Amino acid sequence: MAIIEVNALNLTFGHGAEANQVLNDVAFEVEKGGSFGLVGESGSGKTTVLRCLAGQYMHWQGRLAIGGQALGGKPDKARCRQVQMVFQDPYGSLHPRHTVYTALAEPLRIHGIGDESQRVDAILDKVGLNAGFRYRYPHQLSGGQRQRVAIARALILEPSILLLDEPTSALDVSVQAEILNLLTALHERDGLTYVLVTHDLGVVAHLCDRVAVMQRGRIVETLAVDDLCAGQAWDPYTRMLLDASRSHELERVSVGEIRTAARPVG
Amino acid sequence: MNTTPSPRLQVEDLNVGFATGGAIVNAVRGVTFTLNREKLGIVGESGSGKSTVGRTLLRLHPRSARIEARQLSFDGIDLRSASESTMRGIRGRRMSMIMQDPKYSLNPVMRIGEQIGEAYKAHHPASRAEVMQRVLEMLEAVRIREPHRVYKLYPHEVSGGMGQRIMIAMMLIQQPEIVIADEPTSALDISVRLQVLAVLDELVTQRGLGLIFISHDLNLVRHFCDRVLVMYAGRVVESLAAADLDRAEHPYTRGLLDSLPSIDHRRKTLPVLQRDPAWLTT
Repeated sequence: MAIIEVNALNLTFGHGAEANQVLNDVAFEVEKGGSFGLVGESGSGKTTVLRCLAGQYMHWQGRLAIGGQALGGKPDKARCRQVQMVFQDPYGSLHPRHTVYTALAEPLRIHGIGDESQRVDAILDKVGLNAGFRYRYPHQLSGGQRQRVAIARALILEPSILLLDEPTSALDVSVQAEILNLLTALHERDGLTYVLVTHDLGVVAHLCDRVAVMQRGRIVETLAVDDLCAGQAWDPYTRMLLDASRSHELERVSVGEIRTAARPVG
Repeated sequence: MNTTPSPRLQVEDLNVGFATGGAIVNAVRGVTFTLNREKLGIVGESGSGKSTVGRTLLRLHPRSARIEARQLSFDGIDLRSASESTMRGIRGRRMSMIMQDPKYSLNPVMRIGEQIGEAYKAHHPASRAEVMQRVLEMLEAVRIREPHRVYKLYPHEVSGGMGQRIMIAMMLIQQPEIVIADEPTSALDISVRLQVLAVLDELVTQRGLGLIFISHDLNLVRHFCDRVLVMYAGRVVESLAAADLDRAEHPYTRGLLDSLPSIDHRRKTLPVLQRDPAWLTT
């Protein structure tokens, strides 16, 4: 059964002549325990889809359902508990003057869940940190450790869906491998459902089973990651992304081709 | 094209330290390399000293920095002892640097054309019309399609990729002999990144520049550069031709290459870099 259903999702910012349609009939489904990737260039609307699912935008049109229940209006506490988000930049997403403990205990207090201390220790352990990190401030942590804390904060409410917005793009390659391994392990152990936004097809290949390619607010192609890796993408933009992440070969991907494939604005 | 002998940069046993508190932190230790008309990549993790090397060449460090080297010369000029006025003649004019993020490196309250023109006028006396002509030519050279329109825009009105091409235009309008590009494409999308790289590549090849390309993206450096220096904790652990990167021998380089997720070679778990304390000394 699909745990996330997105159907004819439209979103516009601004009014009248200034109106800018950022999502255009976006539709996809994610199976329970699945891992769905959204790729595309910046400004294509990937993150906006996540924000709609997370309840950060409320004026969308269309149908969004999580676990068979249609969403709409203000997000309630139960939905917030079920859907959690991890942001791109671990340097910006943690409060600089809150300790790790404060950051992790806050969602528990909001949702009125007890056993703060034990739960914080358990979740730190789960993301590969230990209780010794409880009273550290973000500036005392490395980038990888910060992203672990951000993942712990999302997981402490025991959500069933994790929305990941470029979780490794601010990290070094060596640290990226650690975080990707952690995400794989959590996915397998807890049966979490992931929606992952990224522009790196290597990360998609590692973590996802299905992927949608977005361009200018539309999904241009949805396919299984196995097919993507086998080179069965047909959309020119997807093929360009594939070539680019395979090789960066400037000679083969000439700029003219990129122009037509990417259709940049301006 | 110019017929002067190829610009040459020589760095031998470069050490850079910063005094913090009472202690000295050695950010760069014993780095040696030379640069001709080629694309030299410097790769490594954050904090490995790549950018510090780039900034040392232009002497952009604060006074508290301790720079020692057996040799540090550019076209016969000793950069260790060069006076401030000599440096002003080199900086921007003969050797320039492209910064990582156009959002923070462009002046937000000045039109793009005027900013590029200002960089040109700093070293070339010219009339307003001449400067404008040069700027428009340069914008065209970095493949901006409507140079007249872009000339009048402010930095917040252009996209990231265009901003980065504007930075490149600003650096190249002086016709420098060496360009140091500090992660010029890290903030950009793949498609825009390829455009910017193609522009850089064309200009480097046509004008015979020497390019130092600082990046943490091994794949990109492998295909874009001629030669690669791999840095770890302030030291060059390996120096090899970019095409031979697959055959790298140092465990650090191997570890970095291995830890990349790939669409052609999918693995359940990615190998995580195991750091060996011996890398710090040998």
